[in-house]
Formats: sequence, structure tokens, C-alpha cells
Amino acid sequence: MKHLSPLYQLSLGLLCVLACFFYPQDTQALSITPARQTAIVDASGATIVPLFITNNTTKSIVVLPTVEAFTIEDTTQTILWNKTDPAISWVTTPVKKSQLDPGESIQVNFTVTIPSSTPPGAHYLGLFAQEFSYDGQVAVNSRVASLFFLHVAGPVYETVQLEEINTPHISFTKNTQLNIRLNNIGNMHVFPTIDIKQRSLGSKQELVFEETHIPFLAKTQKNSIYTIPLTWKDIGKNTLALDIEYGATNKHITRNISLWYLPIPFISVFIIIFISILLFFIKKTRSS
Amino acid sequence: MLYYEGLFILFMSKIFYPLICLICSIIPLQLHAAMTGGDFEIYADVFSTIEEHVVSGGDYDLYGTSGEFGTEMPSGGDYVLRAGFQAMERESLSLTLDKNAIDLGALTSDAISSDTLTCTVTTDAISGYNITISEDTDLQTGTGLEIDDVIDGEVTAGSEEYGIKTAGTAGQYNAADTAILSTTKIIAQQVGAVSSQDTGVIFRAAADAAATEAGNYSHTVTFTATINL
Repeated sequence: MKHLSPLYQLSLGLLCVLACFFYPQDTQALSITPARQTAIVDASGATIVPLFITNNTTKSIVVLPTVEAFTIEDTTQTILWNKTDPAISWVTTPVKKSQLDPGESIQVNFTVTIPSSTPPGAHYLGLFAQEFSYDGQVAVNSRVASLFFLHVAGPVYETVQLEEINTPHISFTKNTQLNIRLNNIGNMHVFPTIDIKQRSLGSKQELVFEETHIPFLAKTQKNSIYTIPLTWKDIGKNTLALDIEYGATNKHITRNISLWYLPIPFISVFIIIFISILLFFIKKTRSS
Repeated sequence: MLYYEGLFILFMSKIFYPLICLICSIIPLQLHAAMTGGDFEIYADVFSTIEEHVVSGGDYDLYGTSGEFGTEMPSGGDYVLRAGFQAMERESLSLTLDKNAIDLGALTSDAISSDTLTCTVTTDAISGYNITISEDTDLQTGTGLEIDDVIDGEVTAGSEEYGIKTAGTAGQYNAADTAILSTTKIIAQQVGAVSSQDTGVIFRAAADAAATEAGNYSHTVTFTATINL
């Protein structure tokens, strides 16, 4: 075999190293648009909702359009997929598995057909582009969802119930927690704003908690914890006036709740004074 | 010289500042008009928009057709939604995974087996995005033997545990290992538009020499990307 010069060997090695960077790796890459959409459809009516899917990889991929419903976890406010909802069966597509060449895009039309007896209300769905996984110890699926807010046309009822409100009757810490559980029994999602007015003999303050970015979905519950900061001026009885405003019709839920703020140092001083007075009277009684 | 005098007169004139104010006020109005002009320009979650800008209290009817909306006489309920409204945002979302499968190799009690997958997300959604993970079953053999999910926040060598950890700005489990469940769990979340943002997902497993039985363990995990609500 002909001996290769050191320069040639170095060049060959460098070429091999560079080739590693350009070697097409086994990847999954999907793009969808739009990422969020809304439709209002009559009961017994139908509409078509498009989803555009693009293969961003350098190889052909097989994509499957699917539909799932979602809800929002009541405490962490995170999205939960795979919820049961009759609306899933209303959304169909003739497109099954589609092969996409590198850079190729397709438009998948989802047909939404609402049964005739469907009551008005909101349904929360995801229109997915899912790529098939390969076999392996841990096979990996990937999918990208377009959030689809489907509303069956008709009267909208915005009704939120205050299921529970509680705070410690006696608070020993300066940051008191107020727990609120709301139940959206209406048929439309809303964006509640929580206004809490705290008042004591020494001070008053207004705390406004807006949660405009995460909708409070219809037929769901929501647990929230709010921190009420208290100062030495608030020692004693405090009144918390709660005002929850929600919905397009600006509805309100109001409730008052009271708590006693007794910080540990205050209690210590109180106990010392009490014991001192007690001792004083005992001593006085004995001397008399 | 005449040019500078002209500029000076313009700046000092009474109409200059009102004119600037008028121009500034016209520009946003034009932008607003563009947002409500066509089928694909209105925010998808139109009810929050109406809630803030159209409704001023009380019951009303709401209808919409081809991207236009308005109010009508009430006819039951708090308001009425009529069919026809269809809106979407021109936002896009892209998810790239650099692997189709994770290979942890042969699990031993001496060390933690691991393999890393990188999720890369690009989106122009102002709300940002999130990635969830879920599994079809636990990591198990065909006969039902399972590798236990991590529950103490750390996969430890010599202990039968399996979980994931994340790395990157959007990672939600950068400090501790977490189990993969059949329900969705957010592992990456970011607010605001991003371009090619990477999140590493490190799969980690270890075996217990006494408790873990030999076998071919496998399962399927699903990564789901959506924009934030």
C-alpha cells in the first residue's frame, strides 16, 4: 500500500471530523401553523379547520393527524391532555398517515360536525401532527398541537361558584395564606380577577391578582393560594374582603372573612405581661 | 442658514407639537384596524379580547361571521354565541428531537445508565410554549417486570430507579430527577417567542443487584409541544 504523506493524513482526518457535523442525524422535526384557533359552530352544523404541517428534517417522515381534548390541572394550572370529551368524535379528517419529504408541507383539513342535540358550550381540543416513533429501548414519539377552542353556538352562561375560602383563624406568621377554590359551572371559560381588600385597626391595603393569561375553563375547578402580607400594624383582628370579577358580563363574587394576626413576639410579650400581673396579684394576696 | 431658521420656526410654532401628537395617535389606530380586518388576524381567544374592549357590562348577544363580531339583543343566557366565527393566529410552533430512541444500555447496580435527548423549539407565539412528556407504560418487560419510577428526586446507583432530568433555560426539572407518568407532565416551559431553544432531557436509570430481574425492558414516551394558553 502506498505510504500517505503526513499532510494528506492530517487532511483526511480533518475531513472525517468535519463530516461528523454534516452527517444527517436521526431526528424528528415538525412545524405546525396556526398554533391556536377558534371556531363557533351551530348544533347540527359543520365547519372545516385547517392545520398546516411542515417537515423540517432532511429526510422523509410519516405524520399522523390526531385529535385530543385537554383540561387544566386545578392546582398547578398546567395543561393535561387525553381528557375525555365527546367533541373528540366530532372532529374527523380524511388524512391518515402522510409521508412528507424534506421541506414539504401539507394542509390537513379537520371537519368539525356538531350533532343536532348538542348543548351550547365550549370544548377544548388539540389538533396534533404526530410523528411515528421507531423501535428502541425507549421509543420516542413527538407531536405538536394546535390549540383548538371549539364553541357550540347558543346562549352562554358564565357562572363561577366560590366553593371554598379559608385562611387560618389565627395567623402567627406575617405572610398569611388565603386558599380559594372556584368551580366554573358555566359553559364558557372566563378570566377571573381576584381583588382582596385587607383591613385592620392599624392599616388597610388592596391586593389585586389578575390571571389573564390562563383561562379558567368551563366545567373545571381551580385551587389558588394567595399570600396576604401583614405587618405589626395589623396585630389583632383583620378583615379580608374578597371580590372576584369574571366573565364578559363582569360578574362578581364577594365574600368577607376575618382572621386574627398574633405574631409570636407579640404573644411572648403578652404572656410575660400576663405572668407578671399574675405574680403581682399573688404576691399582693399573700402579703395581705 | 435659511434651513436652520426654518427648522427653528417649525419647532417653535404652535401647530408642531399638536401635529406630532396627532401623528402618534393615528399610527396605533391603523395597527388596531389591521388586527381586526380579516379572517386570520383576530386573536383566536376572541372572548378575552371582547371581554376587555367591547363589553361594558350587562347581558348581550354576541355573534360573529368571517371574523367580524358585534352585539345584539339578548335572547337567553348571559349572551349568545352564534355560529360562523372562525379565527386563528398566524403563530407557528416547531419541535425538533435529535433522537428517535433512547438507549440506556444494560442497567447495572454499579452506575447510573443515562442517555440524553435534545428538544429544540422555535415559536413566534408571544405566550411562549411548553413541552410535556408521558409514557404508554412503565419501563417494563413483556412479562410485566418493571423498573421502579424515581420518587425521591434522585436516581441512585445500586437502587432500582428510573426517571429524567432536564437541562436548559426552559427546563423544569434541572435540579432533581422526576418520574415519567402516563399523565402529561410539563418538562420545559418558556414565556415569549423563542428561536431554536434547546432543552436537554437526560434519561437516567439504575438497577438493584438483588431486586432487579434480568430482561428486556422498554416503553414508549411521547413529547408534546404546544404554545402556552
